[in-house]
Amino acid sequence: VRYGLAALLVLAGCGGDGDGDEPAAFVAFERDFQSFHAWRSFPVPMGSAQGMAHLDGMRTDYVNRLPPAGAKAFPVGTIIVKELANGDAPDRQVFAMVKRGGGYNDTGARGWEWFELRNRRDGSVAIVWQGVGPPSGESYGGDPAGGCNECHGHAAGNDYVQSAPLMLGAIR
Amino acid sequence: VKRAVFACLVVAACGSGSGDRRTEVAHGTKRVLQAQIDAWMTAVTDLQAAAPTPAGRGWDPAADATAIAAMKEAWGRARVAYERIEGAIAPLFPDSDVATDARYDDFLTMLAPNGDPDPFDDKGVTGMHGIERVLYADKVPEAVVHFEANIPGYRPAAFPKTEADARSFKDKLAARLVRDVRDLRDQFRPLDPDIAFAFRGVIDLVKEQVEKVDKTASGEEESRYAQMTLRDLRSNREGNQAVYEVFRPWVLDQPDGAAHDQRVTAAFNRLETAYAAPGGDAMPPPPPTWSSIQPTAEDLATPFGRLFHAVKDESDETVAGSLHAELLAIATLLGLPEVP
Repeated sequence: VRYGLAALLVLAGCGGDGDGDEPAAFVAFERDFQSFHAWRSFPVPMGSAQGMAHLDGMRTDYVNRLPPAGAKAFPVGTIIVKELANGDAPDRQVFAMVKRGGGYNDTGARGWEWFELRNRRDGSVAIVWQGVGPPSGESYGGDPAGGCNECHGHAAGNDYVQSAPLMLGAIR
Repeated sequence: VKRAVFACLVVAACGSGSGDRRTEVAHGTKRVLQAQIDAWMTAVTDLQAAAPTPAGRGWDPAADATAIAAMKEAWGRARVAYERIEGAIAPLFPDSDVATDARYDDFLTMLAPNGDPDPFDDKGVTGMHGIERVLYADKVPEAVVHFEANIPGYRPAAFPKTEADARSFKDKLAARLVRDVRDLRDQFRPLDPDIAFAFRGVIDLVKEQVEKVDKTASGEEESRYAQMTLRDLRSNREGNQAVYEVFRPWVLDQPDGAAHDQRVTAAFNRLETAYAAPGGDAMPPPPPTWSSIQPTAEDLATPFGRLFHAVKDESDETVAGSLHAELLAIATLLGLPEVP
């Protein structure tokens, strides 16, 4: 087995948890992140550190598409990328959360899959890891507690999205 | 099937540009993985079907010998199929990887301190190793018992003792594995993986192998009850080479591609030779003084030491000519995205 025991109780399910015609599940590959710098972005100047996972400083949140007005959850297929502007692009911390749906991460941030990304020197974007948490032996952005689900669980009322500019009901 | 897929790719690739090649390789990789997932599904279904439920008793090693042998054979096929694709599949389906492939000690970490009071149901310890622990309950090596007995929540391995136990094994534990594999198969089928995923599958399978050898020395050996971890490693290599075969026509079309291909093929062959050397399906026993960080010359001269050294070298991208280094050179040759 290669991945963390945090996934032990995650059950495979079926069906999406959003509205309308959204797909039941969406699995992101590297190609899905390549244009994230061109997505709608929300600069978050001088944000404070969030645990040890996200360092303090300038950061930008990117979203591939906004939820429809009045949505109570982000649709399956939503990709949110958080990039901390702490150095040259290849040295920046980049994390993402992808609304995978399909019962994924059912005991954590329901429906969301976590990613660590890296800006390559050629301008493309690589997936470092993905899953319901960091793989065994790795930590989340240097945080030995490694708590993607735990920390984002505090934002369960906003579909596990912590970002202030991405509060459901306030997005325009 | 692999040969047929390979031939199709060769034909389809003629005259196509780099973008087409990338798509073809991504699709070819998916077909290789899908074939193994299907084989895995068949094997676990056969295993469940073979599970005996004798009236009024549990399993009897003599009376149920045929059924137990059939289950072991199916379990072996399941292991081969999964180990050929684990490096690529596990990152996409980490929940399934845990449910189907976690080891007893992994589960007990989560279940501590009470452990798993019912080893035959579909909760607690599950998956291929949970089933292996039941199938080989009468043959658990002493070193494995010694390792596991120190883990909080440990219970000795056992066959189903009653009719209810046997029924539970078939209808819950084995059925859960069938369900988990079916779910994974159904989730994988509609996916459209990209070239980065395909190549990363190759690299991750290479890196996977040294960890498995290393874990043998600490008692965390993978197929520890059946003593078939060496076969797991062979399956990793086979899966790795099968995916490389999808890339191979593209490699051979490149300037100097034939030389690259020769070096990669030589590395695969060296690994195959290293895995064949100990003989049998079991890992050679690590010497009592073994340290993977600073192995002594004496320990490296043992069958385990030689295997460790060979696998470690081939997995190390900094070793010139290693399998890992040659695969990365191929990535550069083809202009593939760098693997972090």
